[in-house]
Amino acid sequence: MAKLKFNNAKIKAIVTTVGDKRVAIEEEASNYGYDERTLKRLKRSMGFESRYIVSDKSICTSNLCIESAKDIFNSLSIDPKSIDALIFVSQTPDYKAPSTAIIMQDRLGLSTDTIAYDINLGCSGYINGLLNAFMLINSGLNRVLLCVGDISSQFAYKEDKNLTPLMGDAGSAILIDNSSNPIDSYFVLHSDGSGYEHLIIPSGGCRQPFTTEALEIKSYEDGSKRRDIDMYMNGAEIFNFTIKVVPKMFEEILEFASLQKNDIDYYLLHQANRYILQNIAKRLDIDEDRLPMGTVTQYGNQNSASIPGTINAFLSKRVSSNRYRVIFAGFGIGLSWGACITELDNIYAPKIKIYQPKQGDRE
Amino acid sequence: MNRENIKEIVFSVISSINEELNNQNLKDPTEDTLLFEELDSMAVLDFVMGIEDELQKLTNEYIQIANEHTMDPNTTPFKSIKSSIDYILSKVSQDG
Repeated sequence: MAKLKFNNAKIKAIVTTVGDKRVAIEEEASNYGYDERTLKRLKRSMGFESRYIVSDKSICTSNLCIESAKDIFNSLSIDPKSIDALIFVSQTPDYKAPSTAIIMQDRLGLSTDTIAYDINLGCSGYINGLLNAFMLINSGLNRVLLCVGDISSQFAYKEDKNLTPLMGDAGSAILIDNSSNPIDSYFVLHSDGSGYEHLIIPSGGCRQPFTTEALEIKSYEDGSKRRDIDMYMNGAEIFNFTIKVVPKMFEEILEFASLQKNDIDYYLLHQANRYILQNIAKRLDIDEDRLPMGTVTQYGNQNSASIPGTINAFLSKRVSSNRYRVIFAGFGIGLSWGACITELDNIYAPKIKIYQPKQGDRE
Repeated sequence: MNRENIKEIVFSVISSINEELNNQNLKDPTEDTLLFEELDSMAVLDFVMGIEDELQKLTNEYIQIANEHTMDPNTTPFKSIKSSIDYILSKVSQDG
């Protein structure tokens, strides 16, 4: 059972940058064949309102993460050379090879002594990335930079009504330091590869190498369209999976940490959609103040950046001047799910930043 | 809460959803109406949310109606209106 406890790592800063283009659901409703009634229903049940995506396909996840990381370095006067490790969690790397984290090491001016590696994960990626960072600190490193996020607009086909209206582009940077004041942090993680086909980009890997046929736009029974190079989501199966595993995971991590649900100040969940978040809030009997759920409505589902994105969007002021015990919980592609209990103690967490495209984005 | 109360809630929620859905087969439903096949996935969610909200209003408790089979066409408890009423009644008896 993957349950881990640490007491020497601390989150010091969280910054999230979103794509530069705001798209209201009304503007793209015709892409999905939504009429006014459907739109109204989707707004109510799923929380569709608007999303932020990049305006130029040459802007990568790494651009958004670098923007976020530079904000941390500049605002906290952090010497980039003091970073011992850089972890990049994403499904939208700059290239198939090499690892984007290694390219970012150079672009951020980090030392060549830095460990840098990628983790290929989506909605549970923040928890896995944080775990890796805490493990490295526990093994003796002093300072780790975790970068998480995706340019989901790259892998969701514009007419896929099941996926595209949900997705937002974002990149977060999280600074984790060795802490002289012990903070107890707990992790539980799970994986179930039997459900891998329910969220998948079928073409482009070794199992199904890219061919020009993968560019063919296919129509499906439910009225959606996509290509084999695009992400497919079986919404019904993902819904069933979430309902099955997420509430249990809260019970599991609270028990592991010997805590009660009211010992937690904030429940910060992957922002899948409004229904899932409301369902969990009701089930745990937690009011919406303690379980923020507006990210998907305002910014879209930001994959691995949705938990840090929620902190920057809705708790920026509070976490900057208070100490809170929080639960993070991520769940999705793989299928994979995980949770972490830790503390946010007067961290640097400015409001969400909107990316400003610049020359050099294509490099 | 008895079966008649649940039945009333179910028919009322279906009627409310169908104001937007406008599905002819749900205009005058009976207990034998095959509910799941008449609803798209969003409408299933609307139905579940509607039932949960109504039950919470009446009992002051959140009773989770969605489960891991909700969206599975073979095992969903919402296959027909009758199966939906029976399932919701069992949840209310168990959790309410």
